[in-house]
Amino acid sequence: MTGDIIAGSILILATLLFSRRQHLGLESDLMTSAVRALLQLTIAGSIIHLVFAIDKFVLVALILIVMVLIAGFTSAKRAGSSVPGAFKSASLSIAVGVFLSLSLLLLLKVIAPTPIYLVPLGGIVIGNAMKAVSVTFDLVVRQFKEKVENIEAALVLGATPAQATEQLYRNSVRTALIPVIDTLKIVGLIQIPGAMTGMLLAGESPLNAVRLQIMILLMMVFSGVIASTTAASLARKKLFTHDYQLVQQLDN
Amino acid sequence: MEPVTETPLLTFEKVFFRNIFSNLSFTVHRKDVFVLSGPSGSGKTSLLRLVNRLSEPDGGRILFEGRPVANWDVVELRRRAVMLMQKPVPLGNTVLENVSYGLRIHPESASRDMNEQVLRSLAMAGLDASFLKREFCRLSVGEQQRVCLARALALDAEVLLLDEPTASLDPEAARHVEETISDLNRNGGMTILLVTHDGNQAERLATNRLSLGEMKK
Repeated sequence: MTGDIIAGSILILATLLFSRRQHLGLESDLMTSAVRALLQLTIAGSIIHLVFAIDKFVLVALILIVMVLIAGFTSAKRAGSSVPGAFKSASLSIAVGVFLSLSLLLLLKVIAPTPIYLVPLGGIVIGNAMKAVSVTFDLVVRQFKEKVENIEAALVLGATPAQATEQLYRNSVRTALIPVIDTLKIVGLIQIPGAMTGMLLAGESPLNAVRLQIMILLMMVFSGVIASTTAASLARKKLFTHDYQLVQQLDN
Repeated sequence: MEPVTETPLLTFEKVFFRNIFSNLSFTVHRKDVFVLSGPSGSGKTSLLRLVNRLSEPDGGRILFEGRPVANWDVVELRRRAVMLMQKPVPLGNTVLENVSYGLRIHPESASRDMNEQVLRSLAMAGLDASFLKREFCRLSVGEQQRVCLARALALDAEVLLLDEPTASLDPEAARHVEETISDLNRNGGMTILLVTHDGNQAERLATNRLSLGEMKK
């Protein structure tokens, strides 16, 4: 433990020193981030320790809900005011992705309904779904602004919002999923992912570590697809009225 | 003169829209080329958008075939009152994809031989079959606008809403499009509601006209 603290402090100090020597101006940001990471992880670790000890499903569900809401808030903040009701849409999209992927694994009895599985796996999946939703929102809004003339040209011919934004929807979801699909491509070749590293360090057999890691990666892809498609559908719905008009009027 | 007994195709009754126009009333009959002229900002484009329900009026009533436009199913209304935007915009890569767009989203409007429908619309817009496989973005602006016109015509609409269709064209291309519009009306009996700021064009094409500058509050 003492060794960990000394090693951690040396790493931070060395980085600060390097930043100062190279005039990178990262010192203050780095210090704040390091302190935040330390505090957040300590609090998270304590809560997880408590949840593992109490071992109640309702407590796990509560933790997952809080995590989803924080992730939803983060994604919504990125979307700003461009997507009306972004917090609700983001939280719902992430929740659907996480719920479906965890439920599938529970139903197939791949994991047990215990905190030791649900909390860390839920966290990984929520974090990944959040990234997919943030990128999806950003792309939907950006492409919507860029392609507004094409969208209206389709609407005036009687296209529904779904038909008028078909290409935009597909592009947004596809682009949002590139990082996780790329991770799947290079895993084991360039990078050994966190969960697998953790298991190997904890002395688990490499084959068991691989089994869990593959499952986690596939969960990430599945929940990413679900979260991203849900987010894109909800976002584009918010950009049209019931009468298939653009919410942001472009009249002159 | 024989009295007109049929329901007008389009009626504006004391329509007002933002601070752009108010108490606007007029009637468009079938087979009219109804030209709306006026300076920039007089609300010409807004007026077409109100018919197509891309925008809503702040007051008054707009009737299409005797029924308030708000009571129409919006998809059906837009299929029957098709709008052509001022600037040509692609809805697919090739000319074929563009002209068949409306038929793909309204399969009920497509006949068994969709290609035949596409070719007929292209011909009405003054283009031939050699254009089908060409890429939209590689055409001249004039040709692009004709493809957009063919795309609108493919739906067999009751009325064409044309928003300054020659504004972005060179004089030669503009003359071709103008001839097409005239031909569609004279030989095809198509009703056209045309917006233009070009007084001479209004003079050449109109069977009935309204200057929005005069109507402005």
